Amino acid sequence: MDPTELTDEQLAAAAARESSDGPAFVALVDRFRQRVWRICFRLLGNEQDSNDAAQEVFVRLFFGRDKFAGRSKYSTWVHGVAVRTCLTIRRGRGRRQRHESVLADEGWESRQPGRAAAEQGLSLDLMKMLEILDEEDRALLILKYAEGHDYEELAEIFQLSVSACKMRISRAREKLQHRFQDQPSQAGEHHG
Amino acid sequence: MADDFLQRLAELEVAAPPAEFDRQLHDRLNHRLMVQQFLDLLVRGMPWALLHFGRAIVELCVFSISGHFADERKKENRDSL
Repeated sequence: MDPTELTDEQLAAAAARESSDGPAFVALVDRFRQRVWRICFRLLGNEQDSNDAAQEVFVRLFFGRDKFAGRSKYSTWVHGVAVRTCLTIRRGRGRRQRHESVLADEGWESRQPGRAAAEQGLSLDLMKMLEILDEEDRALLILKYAEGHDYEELAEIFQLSVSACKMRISRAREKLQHRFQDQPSQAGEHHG
Repeated sequence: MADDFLQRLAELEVAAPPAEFDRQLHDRLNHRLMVQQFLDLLVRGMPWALLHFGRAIVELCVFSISGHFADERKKENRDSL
């Protein structure tokens, strides 16, 4: 059967029956490559770590392909694996290294002319502002606002209750508001 | 302010995955499978091999010392008669 005609869940079941990375698993990688990469890139902020994380996500999906129980959508399950993998990598990388990478990005930014530099600046400002949050809150905000997940999906991805998700997002927003309310939008300055 | 700022998160550009992503993933998966199979061999195959060859070595030692060879097949034949 043509893998493109199957739903995610049917493909996952077919991949679980394969003994190696056969056509069903390859089709799953093809289907989720962009989405997993986007989550990894948004959570980790650079291509090298995102590449490493996205590959690790698919390796974990391969070895855990018979563990999908079908209680949620397969895509939500994949996003959960991606988030947990990225959080593990970020925790391992440590804050000091993240700070160095931001400084390195600033150096790169100063070498970019015009609009590209402004966009890069916007991205850096947003990401730097999010750095004041703890890892999970930061990931919750990114998945909610950048990836457009609703609270039910977030609850499944982060294995929290819906109310806990709402509360954590609300607190994270308050924290950002409190921390940056006195400062003019740095992102706006870059655009101006 | 926070809401405006958070809405802009979706506008951030995301780089495209590298062109060699699939090949790198395939290599990583193969490497991981090889390690897993080697560990499987070590955990399941090696104890069986050690037990099997260990018995042969013990019996060789017993035969060298006592000159007695415990042939299970002969014993089975004797019992059946």
